[in-house]
Amino acid sequence: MDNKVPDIVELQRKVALYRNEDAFKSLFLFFYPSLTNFAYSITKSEESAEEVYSDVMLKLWEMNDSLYGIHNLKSYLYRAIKNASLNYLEKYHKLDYVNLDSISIEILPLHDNENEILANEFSRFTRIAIHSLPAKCQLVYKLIKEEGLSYKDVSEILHISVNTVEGHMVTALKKLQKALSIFLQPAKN
Amino acid sequence: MSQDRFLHLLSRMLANEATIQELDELNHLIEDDSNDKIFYENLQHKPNPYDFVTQYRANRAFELLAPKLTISQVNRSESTANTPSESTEPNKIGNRKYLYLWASIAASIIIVIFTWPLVFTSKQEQLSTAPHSEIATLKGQKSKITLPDGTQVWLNADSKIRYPEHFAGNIREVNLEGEAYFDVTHNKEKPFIIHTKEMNIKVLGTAFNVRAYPNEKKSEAALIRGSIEVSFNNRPDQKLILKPNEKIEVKNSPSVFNKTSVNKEEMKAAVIAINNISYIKSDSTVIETAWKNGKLVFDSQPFEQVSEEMERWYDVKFVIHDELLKKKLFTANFNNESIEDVLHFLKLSYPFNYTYHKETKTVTIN
Repeated sequence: MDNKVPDIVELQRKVALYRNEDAFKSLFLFFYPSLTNFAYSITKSEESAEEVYSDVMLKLWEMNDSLYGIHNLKSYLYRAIKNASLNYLEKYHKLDYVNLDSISIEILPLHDNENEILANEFSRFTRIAIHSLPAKCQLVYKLIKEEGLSYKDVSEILHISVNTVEGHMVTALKKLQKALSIFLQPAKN
Repeated sequence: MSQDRFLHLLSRMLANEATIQELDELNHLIEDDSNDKIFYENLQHKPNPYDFVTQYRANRAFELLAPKLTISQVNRSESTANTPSESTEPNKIGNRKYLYLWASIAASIIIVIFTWPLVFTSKQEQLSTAPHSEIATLKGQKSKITLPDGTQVWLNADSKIRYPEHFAGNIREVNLEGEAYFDVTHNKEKPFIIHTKEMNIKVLGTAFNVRAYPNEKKSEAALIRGSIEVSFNNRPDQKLILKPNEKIEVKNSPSVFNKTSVNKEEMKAAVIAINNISYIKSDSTVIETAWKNGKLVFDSQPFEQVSEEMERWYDVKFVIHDELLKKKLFTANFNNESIEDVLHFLKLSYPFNYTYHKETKTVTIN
């Protein structure tokens, strides 16, 4: 499968200025896996995660040309998904005020896929090790390592300080390194 | 202690927060510890989130959403038609937004106009104070140069490099037009900067390829090892750091290449993209730097580009009357072959009629 990352800014421009549905579809498909996973960590239901995602993307479409003014679309979408997911919890669980600190975060369980089978031992082990990290740690790690977001982006999305983001990230790496030490050479003196 | 430092730097690198000095330090830590190196290298692997199930779900979700896209469009135009009193408000905001947009564009153009000569002359002056050497290759030529600091430069055809006879001060600066491969001698105290028309590339010590031909639509820098920092002449506040195996492509500003080929679409198009560098599958040669070893490589490129490349490579001129052929994509690689052989092989994959006139060095395609 094509692993190339599409040119987000270019697609964003086509949607904003030319209302290009194909470009919108590309954006929708591209962000689907990571953003529905992120929505799931808050709503804890795959169905509602998809609903939240579709709602957010529809709003994006309806923004018209002001969509062109969004500087970092990925970071913007993460924040939109977070707010929409929290709103969803308030609405359907009849909660008064929900924020990220007052709820537990859950990460979507792994499901076997073709990439997994093809991947080598090490990367399979890495995925399992990542999955055993504490939820927030894992979320920070995924947002940075797999989504390529910056400390500042993650700090804005999760409402934690940049230092805390770095702390989580270093902890995640430390635990990963430990979990993967069986692959490494005997410890140095 | 050093483990904590390693993880700290690694974290900063993964988040694209690391400065070039930090990346340099990280590279050194990795070289010193094989365990760190293995861990680091395996972290470079990115899982592909797009497995079959997810792909299916994403498409299904879009099918469900698709009808709403047009409905929301229709609703909006209906509401503007039926209830003008309501629609005037958002429109007003829209217009004002445009006003701001245009005002800011106008302002930035004015700033550019006023600062342009300033920036330009000061740079030129600064460079011309010390004695400089300039080395240029003609079409069909390649050259290898060793700079005063030991840095090695392979200069591709039709390219030009300008550098001081010795690097004074705390910075090593050169100017490049065209394509070159750099293997920069490491010097932490004296960063090495390559200026091209569109971008400036700052390094401490690494190997990479820069392609900045003024008549092409884009410039690019591909990193083989180490790290480089790229800044742009037309957006000084933006900086990017490249990791090994990445390349950056920058659209050349319209004034640089043929003006007639610029349409509005291109003007507005995104100007910067980061991709992975590409390999020839059979022997994992890096395509971006193959020229340095005498390999002429085309990676699904339209014949238009193929012929331009060959013009530089063999110092010939192409006259193409076959419009269809210009857009046809070619993938091939040649190892020090003659132009007759190359044309012959290209013709095998897609037939075209050509005549090669040796005296005038012209290839005519009908």
